[in-house]
Amino acid sequence: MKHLTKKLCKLITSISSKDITEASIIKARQLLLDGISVAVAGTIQETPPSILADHIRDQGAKPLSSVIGFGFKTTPVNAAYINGSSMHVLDYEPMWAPANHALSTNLPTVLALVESTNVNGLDALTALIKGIEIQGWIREASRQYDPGKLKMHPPGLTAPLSSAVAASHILGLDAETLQHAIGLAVSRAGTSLANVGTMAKMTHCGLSGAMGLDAAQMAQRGFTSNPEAIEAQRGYIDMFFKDEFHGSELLNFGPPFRIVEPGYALKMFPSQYATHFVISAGLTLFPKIDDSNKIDKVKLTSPEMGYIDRSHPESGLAGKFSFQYTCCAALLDGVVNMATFEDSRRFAPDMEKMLNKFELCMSQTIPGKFQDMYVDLEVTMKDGTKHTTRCRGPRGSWNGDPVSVEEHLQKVRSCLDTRLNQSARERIIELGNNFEMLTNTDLRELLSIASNSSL
Amino acid sequence: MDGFTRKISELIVKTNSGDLTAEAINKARQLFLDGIAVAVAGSIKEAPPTILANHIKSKGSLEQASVIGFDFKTHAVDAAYINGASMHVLDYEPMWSPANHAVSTNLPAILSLIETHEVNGLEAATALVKGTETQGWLRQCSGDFDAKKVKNHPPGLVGPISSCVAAGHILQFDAETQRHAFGIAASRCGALNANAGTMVKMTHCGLAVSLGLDAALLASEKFTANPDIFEADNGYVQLYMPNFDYEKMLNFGAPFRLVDPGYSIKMFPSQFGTHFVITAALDARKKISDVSKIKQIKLTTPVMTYVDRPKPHQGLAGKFSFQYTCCAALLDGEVVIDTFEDARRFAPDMEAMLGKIKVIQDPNRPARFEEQVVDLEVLLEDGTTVVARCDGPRGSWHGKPLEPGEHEAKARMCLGCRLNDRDTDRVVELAYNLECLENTDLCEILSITSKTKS
Repeated sequence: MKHLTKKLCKLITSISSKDITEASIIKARQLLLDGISVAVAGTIQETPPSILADHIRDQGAKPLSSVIGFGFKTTPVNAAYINGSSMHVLDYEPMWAPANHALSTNLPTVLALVESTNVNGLDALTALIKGIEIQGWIREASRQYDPGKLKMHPPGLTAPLSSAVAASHILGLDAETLQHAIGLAVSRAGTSLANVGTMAKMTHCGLSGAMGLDAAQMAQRGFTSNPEAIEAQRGYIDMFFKDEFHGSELLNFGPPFRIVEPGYALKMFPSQYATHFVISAGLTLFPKIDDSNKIDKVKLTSPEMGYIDRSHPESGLAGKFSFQYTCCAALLDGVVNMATFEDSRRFAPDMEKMLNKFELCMSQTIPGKFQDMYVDLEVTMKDGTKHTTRCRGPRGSWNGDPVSVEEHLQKVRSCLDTRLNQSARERIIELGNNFEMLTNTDLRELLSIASNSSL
Repeated sequence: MDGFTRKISELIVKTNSGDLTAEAINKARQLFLDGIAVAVAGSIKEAPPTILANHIKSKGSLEQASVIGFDFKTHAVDAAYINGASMHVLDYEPMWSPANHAVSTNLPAILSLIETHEVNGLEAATALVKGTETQGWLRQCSGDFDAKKVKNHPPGLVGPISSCVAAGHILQFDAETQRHAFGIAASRCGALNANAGTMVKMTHCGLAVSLGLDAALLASEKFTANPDIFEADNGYVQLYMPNFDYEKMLNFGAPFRLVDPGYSIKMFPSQFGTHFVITAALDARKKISDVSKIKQIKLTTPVMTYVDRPKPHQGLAGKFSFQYTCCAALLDGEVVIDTFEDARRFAPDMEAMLGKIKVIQDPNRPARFEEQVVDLEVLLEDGTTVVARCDGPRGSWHGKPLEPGEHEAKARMCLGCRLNDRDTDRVVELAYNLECLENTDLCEILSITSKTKS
């Protein structure tokens, strides 16, 4: 489509806080709390964020923006890098349709600019919605719904652009400057799916968000690029979406906003999203099994998803990307939480034994798109009894039972509790629930509490 | 190939300064001098490095590594970012076979570690040889030789991978750490050709070298990744180089690619395909007494759409224009750094000449630099026609070799953009003794070249 980048940037810069609907404000509040709390937990429950934080702290850069959970400040770009990684490492942030990690790639950019600008809650919220909005439309326009069609990890592919959009709202970039920011951002898109299940995966979210912020800041300084980078020959579409891309759909950007429609799925388990189907199935059968020692065989039928077929994951972290491990954990423990993915649980004797009883059948006839997929679980006991169940959608997902507000707050509290005391925790929830009303000072207070290494 | 990442990592960490031949050292000296000199010139002759330097300077990071031409120090990763960008912005660094920018994507990582590590000249040379070696084999084994086939801008694709090898040599990686560094770096590859001719292109090199260095530093701090990233499902090869020849890559090592097939020293500060056009045009110009009598110009080239720019939107974009570089050579009888300033681009005689040129991109001509041929036909008002052909600019694989001293003259001219004669002499003298330098000598080079003016 001719002039797509230009039209899109005009549209994006024309959208302001006035366009934000009540429904989207409610969603944005929930996302803010979810993102901050899973980042707090991520900083302490897993080791890679600490390595990254030390690595960045060593740069000794200007203390401008707070780093969640590590008690120091650094430049906005660096802060977005670490906060995005911490927000993603647990794989506990919401899932989007089409599949993506839109929160850890946009919210950190917004947070990174709170302390170096005067942005208030309403504009921070608007920036978050705009970043998520463009990611959603890019993913939609690409028609890459099925994981089998994906070549790159979507956050790395979409986040440099979306984060530049989110930042541009706060920085007040005009349409032309945004065109250049997007041109800068597209030359920083990438990421290899082969790093799923490794420390490097969390940097896909952290780094690509940081890169988009950097692109926006450089464009603000007058650094220019190909202002038609999305549609240009050898540009973004040509490079990454050659087979199919419906460019005009990007111009659907705007109310009612994708954050509301099709919305997102809150994650109630800290693992890759397709495993939630398996976990839900496992938890359904758990009460029917009186003694897990009496299990003879576990058979799971799932869509074709090679990257989460890990019969014996090499670490607890890699267990987040294992149909087998998450299912065994649900059957053994009746609960799947952050502790499930510690190495001590992974290598416990009962887990080893259970993993050996597991049979995974990946069927090409089951769709791999999260909204359409299902899994069948069959547990055969030593006495020959069989227990079976099918999961079409975990709770909180598009086809599953909804998660109540109170239940979500339980998740938020359990995450914040990993570092913070009760009064700090409740203050964050109070502020988060009033996102759109917050002043810049309130936002700074939120960050100042969340950045504490312990309270 | 099973176990490939492990095999290549073992081979890489085993390769050390003892494997360097005299010829490889000779080439490394030249590359070292060329890279530093074009970075000095790039930092002052074009505007974007200044924007970038201010952008990074405002981070106020630890003062560890010198920034060429901007008189400040910053964190090693950031210094590599700016130095790589300055080294590339003029498009004046050597060209490689297959086509690539291997100096600006390796040398800055090495320079960044000099002031924080006890690296000497021989080890710095070895790191440079290993970095360019990695890139050369990656490009060779990809089979993507033709410009039409290359989707990603190659430095962005192979730069992070090679830069973590160059840095890994100085950080004394074992094979296991190298494997994880590869894994981290591979998730940071990419760069769009649509940004050729814009300020962003220079960041492809700068960012690639800095991200590779960052990956190496992270790996040395025990950050891990997929240790089989090349051959893994959804890994580097599958994603970027589906026809990759694994066996061939294991040729990594002496006599080294910087010797064979070597590289081409650039004598014009522009995209390499345009050098063919410039050479033909300079040749034709000798036969034209008055260039104002030119009626029409016909240029026949391979298909290289990204250098087909009839009216480049700025001087910088002129570096990527067959039309502009051809007109400049015909009008001025030379193509130099100033050719690509906006003042020259928008001068009336240039505008007039650009109106007379027609480019025919012939799909039957190979678009690979080693095999490229261009034909130029200039029709004069009196009806006479002057023709010229170029199958390789001077200094390239098929062109005439450079005269002795010619490269040094280029290096001195570039260094002279910021430095006085005494400083220029000293940098040249030190670079010519690269393999004998102590760490303090290397630091001296950086301290001289980081000056804004002397």
